Amino acid sequence: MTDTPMTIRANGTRIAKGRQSTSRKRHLVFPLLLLGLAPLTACGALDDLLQAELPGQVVDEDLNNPLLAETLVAGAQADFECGFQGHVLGVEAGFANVFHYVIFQIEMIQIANRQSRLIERGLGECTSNRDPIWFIMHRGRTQSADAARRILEEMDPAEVEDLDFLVGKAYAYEGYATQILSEAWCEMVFDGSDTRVTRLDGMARAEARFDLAIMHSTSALSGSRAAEAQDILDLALVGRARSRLNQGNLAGAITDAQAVTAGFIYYATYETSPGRRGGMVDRLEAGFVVHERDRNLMVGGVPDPRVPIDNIGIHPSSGAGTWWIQTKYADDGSDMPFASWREARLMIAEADPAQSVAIINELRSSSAGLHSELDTSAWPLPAYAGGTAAEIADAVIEERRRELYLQGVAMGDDQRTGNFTKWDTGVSLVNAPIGTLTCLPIPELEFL
Amino acid sequence: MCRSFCLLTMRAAAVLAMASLFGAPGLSAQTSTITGRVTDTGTGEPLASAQVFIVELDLGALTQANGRYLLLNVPVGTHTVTVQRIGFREATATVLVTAGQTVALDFLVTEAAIQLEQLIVTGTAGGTRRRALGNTVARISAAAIAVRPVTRIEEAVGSGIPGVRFIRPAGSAGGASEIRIRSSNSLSLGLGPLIYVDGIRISTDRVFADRNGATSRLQDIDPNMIESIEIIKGPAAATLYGTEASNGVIQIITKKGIEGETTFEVSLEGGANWQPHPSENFGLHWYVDPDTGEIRNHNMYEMLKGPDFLGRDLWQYGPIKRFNVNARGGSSLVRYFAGLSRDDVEGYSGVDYTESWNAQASISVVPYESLSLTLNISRLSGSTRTPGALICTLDCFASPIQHRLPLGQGGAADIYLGQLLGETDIRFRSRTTWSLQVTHNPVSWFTQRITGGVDNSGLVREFFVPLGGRGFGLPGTNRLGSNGREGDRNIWDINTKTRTLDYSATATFAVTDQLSSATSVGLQYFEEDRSTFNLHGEDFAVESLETISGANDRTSSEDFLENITVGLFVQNEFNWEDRIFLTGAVRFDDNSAFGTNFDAAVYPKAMGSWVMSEEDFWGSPLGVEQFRLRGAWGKSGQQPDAFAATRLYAPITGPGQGALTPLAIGNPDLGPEIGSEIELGFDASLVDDRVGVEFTWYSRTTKDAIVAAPVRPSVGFPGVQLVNIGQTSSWGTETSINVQVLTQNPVRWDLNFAFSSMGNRIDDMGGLDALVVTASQNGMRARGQLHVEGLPIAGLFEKEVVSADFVSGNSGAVTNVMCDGGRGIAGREMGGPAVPCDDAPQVFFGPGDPTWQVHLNSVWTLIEDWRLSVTLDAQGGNWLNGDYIAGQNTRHAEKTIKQDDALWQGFREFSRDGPTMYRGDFLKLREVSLRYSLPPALAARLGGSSASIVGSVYNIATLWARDRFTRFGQYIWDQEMQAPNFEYMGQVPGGTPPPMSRATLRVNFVF
Repeated sequence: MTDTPMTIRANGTRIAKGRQSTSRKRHLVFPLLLLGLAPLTACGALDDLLQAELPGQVVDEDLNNPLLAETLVAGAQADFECGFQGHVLGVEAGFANVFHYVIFQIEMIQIANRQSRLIERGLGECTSNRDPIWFIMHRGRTQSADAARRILEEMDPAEVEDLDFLVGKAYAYEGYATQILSEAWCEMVFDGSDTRVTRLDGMARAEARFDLAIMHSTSALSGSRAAEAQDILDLALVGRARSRLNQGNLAGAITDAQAVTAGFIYYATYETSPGRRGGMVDRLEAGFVVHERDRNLMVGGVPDPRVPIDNIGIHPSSGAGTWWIQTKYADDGSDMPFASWREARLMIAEADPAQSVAIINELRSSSAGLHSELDTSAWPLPAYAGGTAAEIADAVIEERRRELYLQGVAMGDDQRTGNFTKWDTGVSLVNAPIGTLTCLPIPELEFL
Repeated sequence: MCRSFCLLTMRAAAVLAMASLFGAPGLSAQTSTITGRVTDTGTGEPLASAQVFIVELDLGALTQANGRYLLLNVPVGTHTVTVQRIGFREATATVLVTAGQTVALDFLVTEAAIQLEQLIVTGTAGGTRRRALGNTVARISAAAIAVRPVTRIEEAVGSGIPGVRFIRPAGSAGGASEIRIRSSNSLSLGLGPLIYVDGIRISTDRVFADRNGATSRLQDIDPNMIESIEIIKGPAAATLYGTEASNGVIQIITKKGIEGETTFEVSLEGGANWQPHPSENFGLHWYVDPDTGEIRNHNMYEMLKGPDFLGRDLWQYGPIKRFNVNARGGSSLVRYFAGLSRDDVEGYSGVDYTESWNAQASISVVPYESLSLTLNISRLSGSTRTPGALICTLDCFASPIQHRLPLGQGGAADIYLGQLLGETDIRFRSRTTWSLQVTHNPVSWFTQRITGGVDNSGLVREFFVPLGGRGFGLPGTNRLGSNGREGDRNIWDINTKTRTLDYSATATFAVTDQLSSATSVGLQYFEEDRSTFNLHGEDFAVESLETISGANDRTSSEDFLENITVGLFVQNEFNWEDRIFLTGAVRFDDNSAFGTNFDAAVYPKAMGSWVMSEEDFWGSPLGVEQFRLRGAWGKSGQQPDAFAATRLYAPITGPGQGALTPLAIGNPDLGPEIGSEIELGFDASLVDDRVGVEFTWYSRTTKDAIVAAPVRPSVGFPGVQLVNIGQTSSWGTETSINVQVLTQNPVRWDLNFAFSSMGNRIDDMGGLDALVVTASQNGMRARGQLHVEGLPIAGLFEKEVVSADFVSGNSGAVTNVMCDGGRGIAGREMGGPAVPCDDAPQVFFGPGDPTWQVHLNSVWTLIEDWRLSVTLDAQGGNWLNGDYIAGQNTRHAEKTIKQDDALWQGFREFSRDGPTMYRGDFLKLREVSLRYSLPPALAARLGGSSASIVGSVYNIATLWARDRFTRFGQYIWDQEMQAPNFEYMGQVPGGTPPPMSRATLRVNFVF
């Protein structure tokens, strides 16, 4: 068997040719057989005969090509971003009751009603809302890990351009996927293992990946893609600070957060087309209504521009009364931030109460590092006057809730603070009893 | 015996030819002519290629396509004329001829009760006589097809073949059944048989399978062009077909030219389709008015019927128009056949239709006595439009919100009707198939045959929803999800090309005077390529835009898949005095879908046949005149999907560049499923050859059954991994009895009875407790079709509420809801202790496959010209999940309606829908047809040699159904409703149209 060389096109429609022989060879087979060359098949030529083509997909062994290093990391990023929109939609908006879930769809009701017996499945796709949150984030995690492993172990380092940058980026995405999973699930398993580990074990694992990301991206600062490497370094620092904060390593969190470049913000990127690259806005607004507590939020007597909400009248699908939608993200092509200097500052504010009020006011006075679609004309926002230690601690959490609205941190924040009082109870808007879970159980599919 | 008559016929023909050549002066004064027609009593059709001869004169002839024969120069005197044809009982008549006269002598011949001399296509060169086969093979002839109201291949096969069953087509124009042979045996692979046409494998994969069922490519095969169909039922018989043959093989032989004058056959057919009981089926919908909370109902059928609404009648008698014309004839050197047919059929909805042109030609050349070549070419072009969302208009979306506004006021009914009329979903079909078969007999003891050909099928689906044509959004709210109302245009183009090359050779030699041997070898190459293109555009700026380039969002995709099989077989048959046959064979297969760690598959077989009635000791006990014992054991395979063994990544659009994502985890150890089957049976004729009995018992074990084991999500690969860890068993009996009750004019009466029993069981599932085949979307937690070890494949399961208490009084909310906790096999059998429903399993109701089938066909022939045929079909033992019931009447209202039913209320505590399981047992009056054959004289006056008129009604009535209502009183539409988009039987999703009824009148004319 002779493998066909890779075919790579910039538009990504055809990445590489899979197993196999050229089509010219295949078409020769038929007339040869017609000529009665049957003995050929009996003499070991069967392998050639059976070389089927699959030009639309790529076989595993073809991926160890140094030319594909960038492509592998791009795949890891794409799968993480797919997982992230699922996390915002399913875990944050759905499970953590940032929104109410209204439209009656079995898949989401399983999550939004927080009933363990209903959360049974674990498969999904970026274009679907069938319990996408567990599998697709794991896919982003494993893709990132696999990209780093192939680059480091299967490829000749001399042939990989920007090796440290690419590996650092891959580890950063693996770290975030691991961290986000560990924040949302009650316990963790990795890579099909039978062994369950605690969520803190998961976060320690995430921290270790951030360590590697920081190491490689720091090395890459002297390379040809220094600016991008700096972004990855900041990304990993915010991630490791978040991991450390969740594990109770406040000093470590502060150290990392302080090292983040001022004004830094990093996005999960989306496009309106094709659907797989789309964000969650369309699906969010079709099924969810903004929670009452976030409608008409005020800050210091003025409307809070960090939680932009709109009332658009009757919901067209269900007719279920007045409909409130978020406008932080304009459409499915809106990028969604998941790490920022502002988050880093708020982590310091949380870890060091002495700096809390100052940091809150620092962020209220500056629009640096805000999501680019927010209206920054309202800045500076009214200052925070402070209060008792408990009030200030609550204010920091509330400030995070507003600053990082729909940025994927709500679930982790609630877990860390142990405050679930704002979560809905009783019966949901779709007239189904709401369960009592405060973290997601691992899908049964994981243990079949 | 056959050979001696052939020689006799040849000699007679030579005599005739010599006489004709030299004029034989003086002879005519002393001779006369005998002429007439030979007709099959069973069908009333002329019988071609029958031998008509006078033994003592060495004089004979063959009948032509119109059944006519001519014996020239018959000496005066009294002679006995004999008619013989393989598969028919011999007929004789004594005739007195006088000099110079032409004597008319017609024959009616009757099919033999069992047909031991029939030649069966088995995969070896030259075929095999039925008497030598150890397995049963069903055969349907063109004549049997021609006399029945057959419009599709599955109707040609009919229910009269025991062990063959159908997933009936949905009730829309162009729907075609899925064929299943014997019991299901696979946990994850396809269950359909292989289809060969003139030795070439054709692709009949379902594409765009949906509840409208309009995409089965079986409908491409035109029954008008078929000479015969042979059905090979299981691994014991299909070993020589190798990998993929374990579900059986259907061999379709198309019509060929025959020696003689050119004859033309023309048939015209007209009629109508209709939907029986539409008011009951699609009618009453209950709902809770969202504004007032009141329970309301309306009859959707009554609302939507009639020509006044939107200018068309949605419940019409869909017209049927068909014609077929063909010609065939030839000489001893060249024979030809050419046919053309046209189908134009509308469904009941006024929207769905199917139309096609089908052309076929065959030419056979025999340049030498030892060499023959046959070229077959066929071309199909047609299109089918589905009823789209019509049924869902009446079923799936019967929600209170959508029904809140009456028709004509912008409510759901209006929206979906608008969608129905604005949406188009058309599938354009094309197929070109050619094959060339060369048969060579260089010496008497050696035959070799090579068959090559290509089947190229194309399907273009065009789907279009105009701006505003779909969905339930209100104007001016584009932001809130499109649901298709922004407009949608999709085009798929799927081309499947199969290439077949098949060489086989057979050498025979005599070992002793009593024992002969036939050794066969064969080599097959099969390749299938499938390319798929999709163009998609959505979001049109203005209504007039209809093209993809006019859409704001556009995507496209291309895919290509290839699969190759190479096989080799060796077979040896020993023949002891033409009474005892022993055959052994082995086939080796390799396939591109097998894993790299898997070697070639090996499929052995052995079979025997003993015609006991030809032994000296046979004394016709109990009146049994012919009796044959047979038995076969063999293996064949079922391959996994192409590239199922390979770990694959799919290209995706990444952030600013192309990227890859995990697609399939693969399995390098993956191999085919191996079906091993033993079948035993006998054929017998008795009562003066008027009763024929065939009985077969079979038992099959499928080892290395491929289980689609879910991949643990944390591994990062989606879907399932195919692994060879399962084992299944299936078994059954097949009985057919043909009785010629009355054999003499003026009334002949033939009865054909077929009975089959079948069952299956999952023996091993590699440690997996249960695999979900199909989960009901709306009742996901309450029911599903599952594979469970120890129970039938793809059984039907549902939670069963056994008790519930009203919170107060005798209606309303319930508490203490308890379900059957299961017992026995896998804890899934009914009758367990009561447990809280949250902890209860879905318990086993029954199999999705029927466990028994009965077919009865009664034919009365009156005064030779009138033929009345009545067919009854029955089956049962199976269960169905009628999701459509949940959609129509229950989903949104019955919790309110059935306030006084505690069990119902209890069920709705954990399910969005009510329970929907019901039993599939039924008895149907399937078909009544009346055929009138015009007297030959009248036909001749019209310019032809024969003519007939056939009036028929199909799918007439359900005479009996075990369940007319579900156990909670819901109305069941039709026990044969099945989802054609599922591999297994048992699912009836919402939106599935029930089967249509049909009445046609057909005129056949031969000249």
